[in-house]
Amino acid sequence: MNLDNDNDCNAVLAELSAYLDGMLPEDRTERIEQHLAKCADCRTERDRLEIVMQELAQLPRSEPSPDLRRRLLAHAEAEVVFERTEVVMVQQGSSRFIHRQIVPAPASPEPAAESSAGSEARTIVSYQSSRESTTTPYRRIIHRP
Amino acid sequence: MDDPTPSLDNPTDAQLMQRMANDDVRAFDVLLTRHQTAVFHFIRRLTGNASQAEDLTQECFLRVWRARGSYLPTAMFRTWIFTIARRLALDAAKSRRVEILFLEEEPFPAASNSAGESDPHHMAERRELACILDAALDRLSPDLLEVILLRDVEQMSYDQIASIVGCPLGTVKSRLNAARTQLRSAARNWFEAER
Repeated sequence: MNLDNDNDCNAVLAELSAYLDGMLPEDRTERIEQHLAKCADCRTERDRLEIVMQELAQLPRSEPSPDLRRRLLAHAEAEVVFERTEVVMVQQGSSRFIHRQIVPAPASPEPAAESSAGSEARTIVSYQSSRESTTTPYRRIIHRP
Repeated sequence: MDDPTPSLDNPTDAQLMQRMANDDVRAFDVLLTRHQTAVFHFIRRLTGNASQAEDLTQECFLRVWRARGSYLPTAMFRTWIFTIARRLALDAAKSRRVEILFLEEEPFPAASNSAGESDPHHMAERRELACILDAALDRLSPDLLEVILLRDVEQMSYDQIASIVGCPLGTVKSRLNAARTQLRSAARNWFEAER
């Protein structure tokens, strides 16, 4: 490093990284270029920094296991099925049982509450969205005589 | 937009998120194929632990999947997912500071033999430099490591990095400079031998 230009060199080195990224204003870029034209040491540092940046961009990336993708897709599939599963409680006389059914994809029109209950259901007493339900997990409670 | 040339064959991340909002799992698969390696690599670097990085990458993408209904197409997808990844990695690091002292040693991955690098001597030298930089990255503080990974590995803009890390542009600049200077110093002997 040129001892007479120590301050210049330090100022340039402090901004070399931003300079190489093109992130400096025009006047500072110009000043750095003027300094580099006359300072071999700073040119060396610039060249080394460039090599470091190039090498970092080419460093091999560690890969996740192939299982990760399979697990995530299985999770996503399962969540779709879960979110579309309608759980209904059917009360017939004194006995109750739970019935699960898959609700069609969102693109299809929302079926009327009574028709979606299926032919077995006689009366729908209440209806709750499974996502908003706080008191019961059942979207519908069906009472049968 | 994340992708400069969107098409039916190459949908943007935002388009994929819109399809995912209709429960399209195939769109999620495309998004995974596109980003899982980058996200995993980023988290693995920050945590220093491959098996934990895999769990956190899974959590990261599950959050993306579960947010599919509320995602705004105006948000830059990569910035968003790396923000989630960073937060998960930092939270995990906080909860296992003691374990971090015993980072697992992983073999350095084999470099790909890119075109124009057929000279075995040159390749061996570059591989040596890559090993030096790889080890030097592990010695960087988390503040410096995350910015250099986002900039020099993920090629993100300063604005994106500032948004992900949550700091001013000037801080990104100074941290990048500090990180690169440390890496250059770590490779000083290699450079001197090259002369």
